[in-house]
Amino acid sequence: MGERTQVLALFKKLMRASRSFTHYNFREYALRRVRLGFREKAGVSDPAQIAELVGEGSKQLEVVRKQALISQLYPQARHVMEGTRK
Amino acid sequence: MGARSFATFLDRADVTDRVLGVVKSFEKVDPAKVTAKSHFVSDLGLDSLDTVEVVMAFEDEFTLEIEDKEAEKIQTCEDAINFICAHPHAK
Repeated sequence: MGERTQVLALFKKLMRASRSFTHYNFREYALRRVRLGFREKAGVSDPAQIAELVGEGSKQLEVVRKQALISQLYPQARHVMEGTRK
Repeated sequence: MGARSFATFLDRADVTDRVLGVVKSFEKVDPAKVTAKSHFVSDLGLDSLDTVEVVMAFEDEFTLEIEDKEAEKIQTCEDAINFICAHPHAK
C-alpha cells in the first residue's frame, strides 16, 4: 500500500471514529482536530517522518475510538447546536 | 429482453441528482460550479483530504462502503456516478 493511500485511509478512519462521539462539542472538536492535523503536516515528504506521523496518528485513532465509545456510555441531552432533528 | 433483472441497480438520472446534491452541499464547494463532469481537485478546488470526505458523504447517502482502492479512483462526479450505478447494494 502506497504512503498516500495509507495516509488517506488513516484520515478516513479518524474521521469515522470522530463522528461517533455522542457529545456535540467533543465530536466537533475531534473532526476539526483531525482535519487540521493532517493539513498541518501536508508538506512532509520524508518517508521516515511520514511513517512516524502515521504511527502517531494510529495511536490517536485508538484514543479517539476508546473515548468515543466511553462517550456513548454516558449519553447527555442533545446540544443546542444540534437542534431537535432525529 | 431476457430474464436478467436490473431492479437492484439505481436509476442513473436519480443517482446523478443525488451525487450532485451531496457535492453541492459540501461546505467548501461553490454549488454553482458543480456539474456531472466536475473534477473534485481541479474544478472544485478540493484537496485529497476533502475528496476523502466527499467519498464518505457518498457512502452515507447511498448506504454503501467504498474500499480505499476504489475510493482513490473517484476523482470526479462522473466517477462517483459510474461507481454507484454499478454497485448492486447502493440504496
